[in-house]
Amino acid sequence: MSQATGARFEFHNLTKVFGGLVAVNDVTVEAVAGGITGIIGSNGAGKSTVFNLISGFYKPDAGQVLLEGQDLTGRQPHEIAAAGVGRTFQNIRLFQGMSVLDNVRTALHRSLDYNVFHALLRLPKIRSEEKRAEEAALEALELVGMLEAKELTGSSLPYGLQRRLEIARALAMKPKILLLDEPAAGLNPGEVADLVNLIRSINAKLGLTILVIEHHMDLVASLCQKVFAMNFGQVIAGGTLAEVQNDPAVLEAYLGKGASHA
Amino acid sequence: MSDYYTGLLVFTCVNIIVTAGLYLLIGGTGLVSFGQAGFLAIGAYTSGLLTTRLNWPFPLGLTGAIVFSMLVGVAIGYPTLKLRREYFALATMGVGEAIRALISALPNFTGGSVGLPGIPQKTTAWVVLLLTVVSIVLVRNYLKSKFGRNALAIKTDELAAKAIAVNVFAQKQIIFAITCGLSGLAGALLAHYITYIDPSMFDWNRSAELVTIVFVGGLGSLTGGVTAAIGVALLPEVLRFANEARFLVYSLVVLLVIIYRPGGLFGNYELSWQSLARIWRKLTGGARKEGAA
Ligand SMILES: Nc1ncnc2c1ncn2[C@@H]1O[C@H](COP(=O)(O)OP(=O)(O)OP(=O)(O)O)[C@@H](O)[C@H]1O
Ligand SMILES: [Mg+2]
Repeated sequence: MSQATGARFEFHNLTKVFGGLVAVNDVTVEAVAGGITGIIGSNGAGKSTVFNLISGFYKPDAGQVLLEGQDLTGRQPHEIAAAGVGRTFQNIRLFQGMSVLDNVRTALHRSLDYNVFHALLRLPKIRSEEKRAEEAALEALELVGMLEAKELTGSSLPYGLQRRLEIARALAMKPKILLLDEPAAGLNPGEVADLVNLIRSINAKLGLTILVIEHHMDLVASLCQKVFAMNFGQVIAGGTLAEVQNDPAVLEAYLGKGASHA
Repeated sequence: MSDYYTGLLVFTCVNIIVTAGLYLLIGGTGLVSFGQAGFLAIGAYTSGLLTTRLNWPFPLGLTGAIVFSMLVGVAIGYPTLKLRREYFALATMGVGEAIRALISALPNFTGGSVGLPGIPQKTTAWVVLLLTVVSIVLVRNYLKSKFGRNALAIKTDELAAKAIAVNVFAQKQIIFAITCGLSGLAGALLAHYITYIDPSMFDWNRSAELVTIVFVGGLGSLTGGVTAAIGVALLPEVLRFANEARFLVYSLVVLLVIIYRPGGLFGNYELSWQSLARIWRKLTGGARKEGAA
């Protein structure tokens, strides 16, 4: 299941304009291959919009998205996901009403080797393929430590587990890179610590290239090898967290607003 | 079987077949088609014309009806399945009426509003029963596969479905094609039973009735849809003394369901061999076997 080296991922000069608002302005980021890259910035800085541009939910007005040198710019979301971009959402988006196991199993559809006609006739092949899907789903659940919860309904879970389930669902696709949009939002300090361990272990076990948007600086500090700070749609600094935190532009942006997200 | 009961069986099964397909669409993707009567008409006229004008045999007529309905479904689905749910409902309503208008407008070809008589009577009790069971099994199999999970994912959260690489549009196209194919089959079976069809049989009320059946049965239950389809087919018989009261009773049933069982009569309950076995055990006194694996 593990990869020797993490996928190279970068995007150049991404720009998105909503009406008159330049939500993302000429943003260039090169992720740490096989490592964890952080994106920080105040509310409305354009972080989630960057993820939506990468994953195809918004069409960029300019710029280029490259996964292992393959140009993903302007493709449909499902094509981008199929190319190896897994993601979670800032507001958790589970398949409500489905069991935990089925939430993950659904994400395995591309690896199941049967077509509509096989399905309609329920040929014997389906049984073995579905068995394989269940095993793969259980494997993904084990990875996030949620095996015991497999029968429960996704939406009945506490917040922290819902976030884990969303990660497991993305991992089931066997993505090359994983985008996490504020995975620690709404979690208590204990849950945040668990999440840090989880992300670290996923990164270590799978050698997965991870991009994470986060306000929790302790999470960023303990996970990210490289950090990009955004403000008003632009990247104002990039480097190690220490470098970024001492960058004049960042100090100016944070102090200027009189608010920090510690 | 007397003609009366055969007729009742055919009408009931026609309802079940359309409902199975429509359930797949509504229960699967959340899209509601208000134009299925139009696809019944396409099936009825395709097979009716093929068997009367070209003397095709009945099985080929049925096949032609299914295939042509599916093709029209794909053609209609292409521009409409990307629309928001509300607009899809409106668009299909228009399509249903347009199909009916088109049939009326081509008297030389279809018999127009006078209708198409002399369709060979080929739909027997056994044929219709067999095809009904096959239709239900096909829909059930679809829902039990990865395609069923994809559909449920689309219905629950289209964005999240896209994020796990589900091609939402393609999945909707497949489902709508199946829905329309089954409607076409049902229409053809109907035509080959009543031997005479005219456009007024496939009006908007019919489409609305079919949607009502699925909602009353429950969006999470094929069993519910099938039961409701049987109910709606038998209701006119029960209420024969007062045909006018029929729509009153319909409306009342729908209202009561909305108020007391918003998830439909059956909610998410699905009849299965296990549940049948459970019922059987209860009926036979509940002699329970323990520890048998
Ligand atoms: N679909 C949209 N239409 C119009 N404006 C949008 C849209 N999506 C985002 N925006 C605007 O773009 C800007 C950036 O939003 P974005 O959600 O990317 O910020 P963010 O950095 O993720 O903030 P937060 O930390 O609050 O999540 C905001 O001003 C937002 O209102
Ligand atoms: Mg955001």
